[in-house]
Amino acid sequence: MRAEDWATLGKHLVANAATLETIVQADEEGAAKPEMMTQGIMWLIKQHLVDEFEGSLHPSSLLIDLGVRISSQRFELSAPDLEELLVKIEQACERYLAAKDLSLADADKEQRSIWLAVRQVVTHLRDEHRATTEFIEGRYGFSPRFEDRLRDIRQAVERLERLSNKLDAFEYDKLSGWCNNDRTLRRLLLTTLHNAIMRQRTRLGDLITRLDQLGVTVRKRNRLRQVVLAVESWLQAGNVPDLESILDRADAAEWVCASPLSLGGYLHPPVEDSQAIDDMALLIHSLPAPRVRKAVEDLAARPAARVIPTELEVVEAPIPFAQPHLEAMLLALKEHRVPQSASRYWEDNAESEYGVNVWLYALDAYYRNLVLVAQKTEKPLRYVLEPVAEPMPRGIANQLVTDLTLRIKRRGE
Amino acid sequence: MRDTLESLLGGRFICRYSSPELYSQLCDASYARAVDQALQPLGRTLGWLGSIEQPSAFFSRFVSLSYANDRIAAAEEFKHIRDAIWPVVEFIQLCARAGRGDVCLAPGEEVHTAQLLAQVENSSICGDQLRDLAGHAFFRRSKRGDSHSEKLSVVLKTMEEAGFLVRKGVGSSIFVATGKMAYIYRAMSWIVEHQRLVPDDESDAASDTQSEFIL
Repeated sequence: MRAEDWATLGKHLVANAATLETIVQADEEGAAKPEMMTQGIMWLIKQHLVDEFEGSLHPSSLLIDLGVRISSQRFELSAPDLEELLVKIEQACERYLAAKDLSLADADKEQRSIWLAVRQVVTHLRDEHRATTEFIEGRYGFSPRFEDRLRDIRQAVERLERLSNKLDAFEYDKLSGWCNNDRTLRRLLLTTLHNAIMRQRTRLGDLITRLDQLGVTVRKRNRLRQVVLAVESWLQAGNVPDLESILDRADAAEWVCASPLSLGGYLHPPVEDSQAIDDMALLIHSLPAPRVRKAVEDLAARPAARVIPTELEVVEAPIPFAQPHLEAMLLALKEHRVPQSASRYWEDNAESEYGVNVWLYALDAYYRNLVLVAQKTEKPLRYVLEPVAEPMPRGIANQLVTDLTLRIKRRGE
Repeated sequence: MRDTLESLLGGRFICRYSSPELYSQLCDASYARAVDQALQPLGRTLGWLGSIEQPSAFFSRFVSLSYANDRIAAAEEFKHIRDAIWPVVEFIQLCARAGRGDVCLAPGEEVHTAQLLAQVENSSICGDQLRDLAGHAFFRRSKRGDSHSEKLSVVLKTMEEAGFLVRKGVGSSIFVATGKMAYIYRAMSWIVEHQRLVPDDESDAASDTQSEFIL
């Protein structure tokens, strides 16, 4: 190949880009031949990049490969048509062996054709390896969704497995048979092609293993994503997690981080080593003196002054609110000898500004005060004020007191 | 070994992202054994998340919960985990929405502050999500900003202080999820299993055991 050949290819590709796209996009019937066949199309047909068949134009596998290669943004490159290439190599070998003794030019042409096919296979394999490596090192491929990433990985593994299976056809014995002991063919098919295939097979195996590992990682992350979504929905439904049940598990200690522990210690002085004690005393003396807050005034310096006690003004305490009412209730109790209801008393004698709840609170507080005084003076009260409560509601520890009953204390109470 | 012991006893998680050197040392079996022996007299042992061949993080755990004080401390720690679950879940969801893809903040995944902030400022849904997130008691602190940038800064700083994120480099605005995320995920996986939140057939890895959920 020469630089001019590449320039010619480029020129014809540019000039016939639209026609080539039509040919590649055409169905099995192919694209209709244009009325005016350009020089470029003729050249492409001659180079077998475009095939002419029954008045229609068809793309060659090479052109399709090229098209897919340059338009592909991702990993989905076309798989190399290795079977076709293998057939090509076999036929070229047969032609080469037939032409070898007759025409050097024809033999040279066939040798070149074999070399190109071998090169195509090796390049395909190298590209495949590179694309897969890039895919793996991109860690998650290109898809934003875990499901898509898993699909990509699955496809990549299947693709490599298919490729690996196709390489089975490149057997040493088969290739060796085609060489027919020709040195040139042995160099091309065995030294170059077969060695490259063996190398690639090993690398493909490694890649499949790495893809499997990547698949496991993505599957685990997909599972974590499901966990996040499930927990979020559950929390949004108003549930509160209670992890303390984990403590009931036998392996509970494995689940939880230990509480932080600060590293510290106590100084144990060497009490039997007098030198060490002296050193420590020196050290302590060398430390700055502790800060002591200074007294505002030196007490000794203050001159003595006579203190005249002032007579305290005694203010008579107001009569407790509940006292007259309790006395009235006690009179009634003494008179009738039946327990007195504080609520009923308040219905008859209520001070309009206070409700029964205020009355009960005040009476209870006053009674408790009297009990304390009685305990202190050791003069026990002869009556008891008992609360009357509603039944305790379920789930709440508070109990509603509706009344206080005044009664005479029983013996032994 | 002093650094390792101080980190572990301080309640920190050692992973390849937060303390790469300590982590690689702990991956050495003989070194891990020596650390474990140093922890044993204190009633602690070396714990890890994930598989022992490739642990996500190392941490110090109680040898057993037979001591009443250890059990009380463990119950307290479970309360801390419980209180962190919802804020962390919402933070993951914010990152997922901002990143336009599946995000689970598994150890090693990155959080780009600039990308997150841009998305929060351009999308009212993300803005609302950040406002709700910053309202969690977990992120509430004396200094609370009103702008998206300040709120996000508080959220990221709290996540960093709690040990779930670490800066990729000194002063970097890119954060990396640490191995401690696996600690939260283990608790969440337990909730999922305990409450039967995800049917088995939805899981690709139906045969996975709970420990295998953790990366």
